[in-house]
Amino acid sequence: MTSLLELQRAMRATLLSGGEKSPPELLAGIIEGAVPAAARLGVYRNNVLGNLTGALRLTFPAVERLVGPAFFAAAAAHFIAAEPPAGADLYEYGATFPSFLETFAPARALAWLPDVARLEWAVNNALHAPVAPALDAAALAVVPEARHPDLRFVAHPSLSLLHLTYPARAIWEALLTADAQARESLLAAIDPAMPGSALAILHNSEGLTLLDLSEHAFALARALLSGQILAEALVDASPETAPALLGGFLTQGFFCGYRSADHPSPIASECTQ
Amino acid sequence: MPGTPPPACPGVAPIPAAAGIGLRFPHHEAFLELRPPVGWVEVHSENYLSGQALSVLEAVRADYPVSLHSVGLSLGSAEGLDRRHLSRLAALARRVAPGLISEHLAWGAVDHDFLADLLPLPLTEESLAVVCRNLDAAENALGRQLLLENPATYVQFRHSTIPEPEFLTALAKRTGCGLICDINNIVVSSANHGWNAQRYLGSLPAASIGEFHLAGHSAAAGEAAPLLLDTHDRPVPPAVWSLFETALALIGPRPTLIEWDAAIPPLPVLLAEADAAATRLARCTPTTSDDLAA
Repeated sequence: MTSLLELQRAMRATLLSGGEKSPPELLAGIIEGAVPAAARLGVYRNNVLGNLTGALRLTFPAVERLVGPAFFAAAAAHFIAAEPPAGADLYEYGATFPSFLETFAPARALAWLPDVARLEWAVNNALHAPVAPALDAAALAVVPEARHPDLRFVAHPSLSLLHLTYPARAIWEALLTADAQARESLLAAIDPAMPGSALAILHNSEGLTLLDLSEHAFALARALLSGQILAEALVDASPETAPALLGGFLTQGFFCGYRSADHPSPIASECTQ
Repeated sequence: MPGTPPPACPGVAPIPAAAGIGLRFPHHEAFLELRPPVGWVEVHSENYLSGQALSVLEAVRADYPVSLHSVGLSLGSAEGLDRRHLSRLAALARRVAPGLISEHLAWGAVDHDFLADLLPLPLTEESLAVVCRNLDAAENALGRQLLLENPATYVQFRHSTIPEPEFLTALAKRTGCGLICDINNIVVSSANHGWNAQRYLGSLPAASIGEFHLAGHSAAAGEAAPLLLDTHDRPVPPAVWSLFETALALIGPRPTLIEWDAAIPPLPVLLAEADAAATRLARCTPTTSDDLAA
């Protein structure tokens, strides 16, 4: 007789198979009654696909508006079969959906689609990241200034930095406009050939926050968040603008702690998850 | 580890033998504004494990007893539990101090793939041992008893050897877990497998039942007809109300939940369903603390 593990593996294969025929030995093990075994399994296949498509739909509403519900469902079905979620925390599902869309042949004509998806993933992360207090300038004051060059900042868990090729922020904002007419006219006004932008996306004291960053600001933020010490991160930064940029990052809540050899900051456990 | 699970932590607001509602995202705002007179609230744990939604749950919890109902523990997984998910659930439970924590007799994960559905188990000695082991691990991590819900199923395996109510009874006996008696699931599964719903109900161990669930279902179309589907997308139908009345007479009053998860109506519609459950609960023998402790 099949072990429970073997049965569960066979069920997974058939439920993720996208409607292909289930193996005869699995079907033969199901009591039919008035309804064929394949139709009984089909209820679960629809549930799995429907629930996971629903999870992606919640995270990527602008992508769905851009391509329409039928196209979205088809793309989601391919993605789900190739990359089912690794755990029950479905708000973590879809990190690789943007790169999947990049390789999904039917979507190739919409070159800006993956950028919109990247933006939505960052928004999803900002909303679902652990709620952690931001590091403020006062907390830094306990470190003697001479030690500042050695500090390593810890990114706030809600923060993403994105460098987008296409004007995805404008497209995203237009797509999520509730009024259909206003949405269409906003979309019509966007030239997809316009340059994209560098963005910081996070949840701070103001709520969900999207900030356009200059190239300088983006480079500095990325250097700081890559784990470099402050002195290294500042090597390529302009000495005139860097202090103000760093002050801005602190005010906006980009960090939730710092590490330093001789002045360890008490970093909230939410920061390190 | 069989026997009595550890007592609930201090600060827990027990769930009364009254009508409660399943609180879903579309009702967050209206619920906090209206503060309706429901006895308690149940939420799906997985929706509040991190991020901003948790603050809504904490605001609700300040004024209402809360029950955490999980859909993702996959207690029937042959390979055991996802420890990361379990520790997140335990952290949520420490924070919310729920009156009850519950899950389903089902599985949803294998080889680290999560299938996001409550999938059916063959009801065998092997499955019983697996679910007992996983339940023990979950109860140890949560530091308290779980309630396990009878599932709505569309598939029965030929190699099953244990009828579902006996399987649930054995689980309660071996692990000390409690049970949710989902009346709608009994109606749905009985229709799908040709069971006698009254007999199913009568075979459950009344003393282990800590909660009733009520919901609506729909009829499958096409090749899956005449299966009933556990869709939670409409009012509680007469067949479910009628079996609920039988359950009250057999088992006695218990916390009773109205679940509505798809085609979610305005909050007042859900509250009217809870009122209809409350009316039936009130007709039942008056509740005593002994009943609740049973």
